[in-house]
Amino acid sequence: MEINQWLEENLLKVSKPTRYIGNEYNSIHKPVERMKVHIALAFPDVYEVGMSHLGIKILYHLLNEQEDVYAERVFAPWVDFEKLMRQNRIPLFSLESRTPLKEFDFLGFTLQYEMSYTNIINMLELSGIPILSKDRCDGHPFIIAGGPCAYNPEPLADFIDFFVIGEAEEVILEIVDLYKNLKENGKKREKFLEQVARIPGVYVPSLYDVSYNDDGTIDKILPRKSGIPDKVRKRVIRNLEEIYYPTKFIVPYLNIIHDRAMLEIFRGCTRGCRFCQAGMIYRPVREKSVGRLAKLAKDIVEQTGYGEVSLASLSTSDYSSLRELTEILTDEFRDCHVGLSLPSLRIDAFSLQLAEKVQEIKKTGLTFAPEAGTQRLRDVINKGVTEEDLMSSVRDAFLCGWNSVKLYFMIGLPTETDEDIEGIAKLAMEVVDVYKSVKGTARGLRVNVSTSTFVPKAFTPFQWEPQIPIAEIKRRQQLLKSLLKSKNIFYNWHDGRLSFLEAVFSRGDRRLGKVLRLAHEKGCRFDGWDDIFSFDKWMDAFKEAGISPEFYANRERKLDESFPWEIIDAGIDRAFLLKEREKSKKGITTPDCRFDRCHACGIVRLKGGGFCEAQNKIRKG
Amino acid sequence: MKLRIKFEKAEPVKYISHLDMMRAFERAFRRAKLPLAYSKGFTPHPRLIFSPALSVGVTSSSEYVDVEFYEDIPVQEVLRRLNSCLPEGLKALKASDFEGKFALSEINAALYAVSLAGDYPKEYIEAAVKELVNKKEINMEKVTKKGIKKVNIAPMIYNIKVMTKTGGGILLKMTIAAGQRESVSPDMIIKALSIHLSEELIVKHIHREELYLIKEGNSTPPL
Repeated sequence: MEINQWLEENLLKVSKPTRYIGNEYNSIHKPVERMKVHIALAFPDVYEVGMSHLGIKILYHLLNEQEDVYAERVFAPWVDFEKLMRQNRIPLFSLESRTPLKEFDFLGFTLQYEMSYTNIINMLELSGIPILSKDRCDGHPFIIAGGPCAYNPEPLADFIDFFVIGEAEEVILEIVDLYKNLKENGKKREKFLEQVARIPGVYVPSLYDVSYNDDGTIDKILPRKSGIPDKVRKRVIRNLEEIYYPTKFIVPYLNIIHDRAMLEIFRGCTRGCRFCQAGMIYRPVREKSVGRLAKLAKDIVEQTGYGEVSLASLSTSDYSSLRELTEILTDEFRDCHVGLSLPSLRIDAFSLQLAEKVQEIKKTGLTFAPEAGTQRLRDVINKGVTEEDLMSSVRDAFLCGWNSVKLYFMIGLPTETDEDIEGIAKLAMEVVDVYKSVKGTARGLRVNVSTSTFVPKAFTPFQWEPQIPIAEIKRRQQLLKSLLKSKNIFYNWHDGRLSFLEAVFSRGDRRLGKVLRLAHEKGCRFDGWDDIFSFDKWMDAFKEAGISPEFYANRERKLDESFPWEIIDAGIDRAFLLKEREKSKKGITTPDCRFDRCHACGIVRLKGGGFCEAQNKIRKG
Repeated sequence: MKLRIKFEKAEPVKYISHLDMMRAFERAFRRAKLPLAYSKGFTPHPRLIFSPALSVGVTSSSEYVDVEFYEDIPVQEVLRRLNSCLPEGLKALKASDFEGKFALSEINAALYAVSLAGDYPKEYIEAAVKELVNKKEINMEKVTKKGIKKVNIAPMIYNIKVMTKTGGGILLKMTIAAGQRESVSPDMIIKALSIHLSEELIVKHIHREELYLIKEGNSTPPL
């Protein structure tokens, strides 16, 4: 085969050739010619990033459970490999069978972050597939996309044939079945798109018209035909306990970002942090039982040989039986030296015993996320954490022997003033003082302070808020830097220009398609990578398209404005978001509904309700 | 229980780095439920010691790993279980107790089979090799972490045989320095030969056939 020969001659010329060879332990090989449906699961970033994503792993193994379906993987080739591909006119191919992507039935992209959008266009171009949905015809693969960014699908409307909104385990099989059915009956592309749009959770942007107001805001997004839904409601797996979960995960050779077994313990989060999109769109909370998780963990370690199991969820300490689970797992894995990592721990629930339990096997880093520097601002964002919580947890950690902690904050949150920035510095200094009081010296201590810039997200109480301008981002970062004087404190921050672009696309509309196309033409890709990101090219693209990025990033929305993402029903009511917004302005917090009363977020509407834990509790009395 | 395992690193895994391969072994041992002994201390590591790293892109039929188990297991059982859990391209060939044998860190030579692209008369290459091997000094540039360094590779070449492959083409069998003290890559030898010939020789494939400890004129393989 031509591609095999080419790889043999060129792989030693590129960095990390292992990115392109596939054939890892547990990767799946099937005879392509005997398959009815051939799907490429595409991740618009390099192998090490894409292979760290749980969603793509679940779908890979789930789809391959189907006898006549073959799902393969493809990642964005790094720039050196891309250059060689272009020079030699080698089309982008799948990792397993090395089949050119244009020969597939479907290409499914994971939308994990906005700054990967140019990579999607680049991957389509490298595949020889028309980048615009309207230019594709029978014989071209269908380009699908899903993942968190699909909750505002509009900026990608020109490129993606259809989006899958919400949890995909069920809907992806419905799509595959429909495709098999129509393919057997010789139905055309257009027909398939019209039919697939009727599957709940599927959004076909080309079947909708958008009209705009004079001020540039959205007037309406309406379906062009009858039978196409007015709003696309997200899909939710009702019973997480019984849903498919893989155990024979692919074991990469390369040291990927999250090189460990991932055990998903629950979905959803009802803490209600007002900046957090995941906390809104992944509702309701659904847990897996300790029994099932213990069995899964054992099977995964047996079949992958991983030396570390990581509990995956939005907020590990909110798992109701965390202590029991960690005890079972540490006992199970003690002899074979498998470590347990507990990411996303909340400081208030972090207990000394749990820390010690985990530490017994392997020491992992500790990250605390107070998010904001003062109690006032933490109340505004509904981050129910106090300074006392943080200090007592940090003290516990130091007593347990840790000497390095990471503190994570956001700058530019609504209502933030310089006082809040000073609060961040004060908190960091207090952590140093706690260490000194425990150890008598600051020697050996490392406090990493990390800030990102607040990006207002769709379907959050802050969806109406402006992002602070780039110059102001810079000023606040510099202010914080000047305040962090201790030699035990290390400060790093996220490039404000990237956050600005994220803010544009996270709440953008389909007019931005032109900007994406122009940015790609100018050579933008891997925008999330500092050494490749070119802000100037992006600004040129906006200028050429005649589109103001500030309109999207820095504008405060009117309360009655229609939003492009409201074509999606994420299960969260606008009225709830507005109420949360008002409370935030007054600094009033909203407790977690699992331990309080129902705050009527709207999620019970989905699928007849009955699966929201908080609601069930009320019903049971 | 201490065991030295000889294994091959074949085509499907020739692009994976030494570090990646070490990780692949650790995971295969765990899948095989073989009782790996771990080091004590803050971050315990499995007691695995490998023979000198193989360059990326090179295959080998003679790699070695020393391993310690905390329980005794029959050697055949170890090989069977390990091979059922290794990824395609890595295969354990034989094993035995390494007590009393020289340490893998003492390895100082390797035998490579290097096949060249193109059609050269055997005599032409043979003559060039002979001239090269007879030189007292062959100064080559070596890229190190600290920058480019000049190295005399002449003392690192022990023996080069020129052969014709069945079906044509030149095969060079070279015994050269390898290991911790000093080492030279087969690529470097071909480069030196190219410079000597004023003609760029292209390497088609490199395979490591064996590793040795050469001491007082005797070559001993690790197993």
